[in-house]
Amino acid sequence: MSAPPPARAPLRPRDWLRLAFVAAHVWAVAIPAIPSPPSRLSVEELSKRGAKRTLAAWRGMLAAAGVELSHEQAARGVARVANRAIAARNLLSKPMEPYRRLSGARQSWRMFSQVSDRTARLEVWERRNGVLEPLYIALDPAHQWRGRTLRAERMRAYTNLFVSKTGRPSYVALVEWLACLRKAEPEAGEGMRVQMQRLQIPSPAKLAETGALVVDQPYWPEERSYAALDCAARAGAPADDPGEEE
Amino acid sequence: MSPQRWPARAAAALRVQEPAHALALTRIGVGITILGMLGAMLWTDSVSPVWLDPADGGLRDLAPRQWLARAVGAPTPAAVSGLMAAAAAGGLGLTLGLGGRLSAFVALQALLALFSLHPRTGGGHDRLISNALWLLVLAPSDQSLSLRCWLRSRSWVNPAPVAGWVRWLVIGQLVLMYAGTGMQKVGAEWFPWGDYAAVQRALLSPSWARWDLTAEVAAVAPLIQAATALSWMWEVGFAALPLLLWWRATRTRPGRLRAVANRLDLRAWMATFGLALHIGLLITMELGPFSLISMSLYPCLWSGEEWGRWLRRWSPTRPA
Repeated sequence: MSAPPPARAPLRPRDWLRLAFVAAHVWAVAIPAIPSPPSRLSVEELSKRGAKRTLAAWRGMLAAAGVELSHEQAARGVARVANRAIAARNLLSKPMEPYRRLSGARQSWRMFSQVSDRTARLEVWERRNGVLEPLYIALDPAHQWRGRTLRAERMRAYTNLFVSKTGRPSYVALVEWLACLRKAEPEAGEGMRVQMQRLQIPSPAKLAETGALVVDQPYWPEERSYAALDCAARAGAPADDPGEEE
Repeated sequence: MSPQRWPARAAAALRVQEPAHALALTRIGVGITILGMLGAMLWTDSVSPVWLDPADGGLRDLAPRQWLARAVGAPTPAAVSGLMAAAAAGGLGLTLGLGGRLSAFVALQALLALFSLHPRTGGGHDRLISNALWLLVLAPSDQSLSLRCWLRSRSWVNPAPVAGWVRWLVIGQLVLMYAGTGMQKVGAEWFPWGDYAAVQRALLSPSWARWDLTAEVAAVAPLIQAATALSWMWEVGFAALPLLLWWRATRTRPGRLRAVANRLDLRAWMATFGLALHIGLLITMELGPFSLISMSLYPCLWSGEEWGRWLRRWSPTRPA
């Protein structure tokens, strides 16, 4: 059976090397995971809808504890602390970057840090005899053309950014890719319309009462006519936003 | 108490060895996760849109920056197929327990190359897989519960000790992931002043939901709110895991809290909650291999000796 070496046995150079390696590894993985936003924050950014609501909730909590802060004061304070944390994280983690690159030991754990009540679903419609028919509606089992692919994890990660209305060139690339796929199918109609359908998730109490999400306006509608589509020219679709999804 | 200074005590502590059973179970879990992830990509036809150029059916031009991806000429179809085959071979080696550190290193470098092709289509699971693979490179996890072990000794279980500190790093990875993500949950929806609405929103958002569960979630809204509070507390509670393990390692010392924590073995409670949470995520949300790779690290919450005792009990003819 295993037995630890006697605790008082003299330490050999390899024991010190092992300690140095473990310390370096812990440094390499722990520093990038310091709780902090992915990029610098400004008061303007903290005044946008989602961030402002989060800040208002925290200000309300602080007010209940007797600490009154205006939005400006709170935003300035949060931005200052967050930006210092980012600067410290970047400075301390830089020396270990080659090790992280080789070992893949890179991480930051901003998962579901904020979950918005405003979401959106991808919708793919086909124009046939001038009328739009649904081909794919996310989470609708009745309309799942290419659903297996579109729901796959990495495709989901690709489309997730569109929910916050970012990555428009990637969205256009997706539209072109979908239209070219459909064009090659014998049952294809005349053209395709792709859009993001905005949805609002009610509060738990409201949801218990209504049992439904609120369907809002669609955004980013993109139409493609199959006849006018040059799929060979797709080789060269724009690359944008190479950042990794959190 | 030892008169040694802390660096010397730490260096001495890192010499501790233990049977490889815990790391072997993690190795098997990581191997299955890799095979499952690659298999799911093939089954969903998502390899070409994600990892190939538009000329070959991809969504957009890719510019790999990782050394191996560039060296093999990715993202050409042949290079991507080769990298996937190498990653699958590594994953199979890890699952069966063949090739040990080499299998882990091959799978790691092949997956890093693949993940680098289109970073935007990745997520926390990619980082967790690569981190786990690197830790498996650092110790011979195929020493037990492996085909290699069976071929050498006609026994699946081998009590020979390996470096114990690698298992500690796996525990550190769990602490970092859960405590880190818990501490960064700053949205009001995780707290009473935001109606504990976070899990409800996540379950209903088409970004992550596997099914349309609107009616079901509406029917059990208070339970989902309770789940929001509990999951946040559980995640942040992982910050206390090193203390719990320290108390366990020093169980003969006095202290009421230490005695209570050791009697309850809070590790088991934390792991049970975690398994329930990850199985729930697996069923309700599309998060790829995240749940599988997370659960693969759980065996390391128990030492090689503890697993050895259980293995002895389960197979009395094969002493561990």
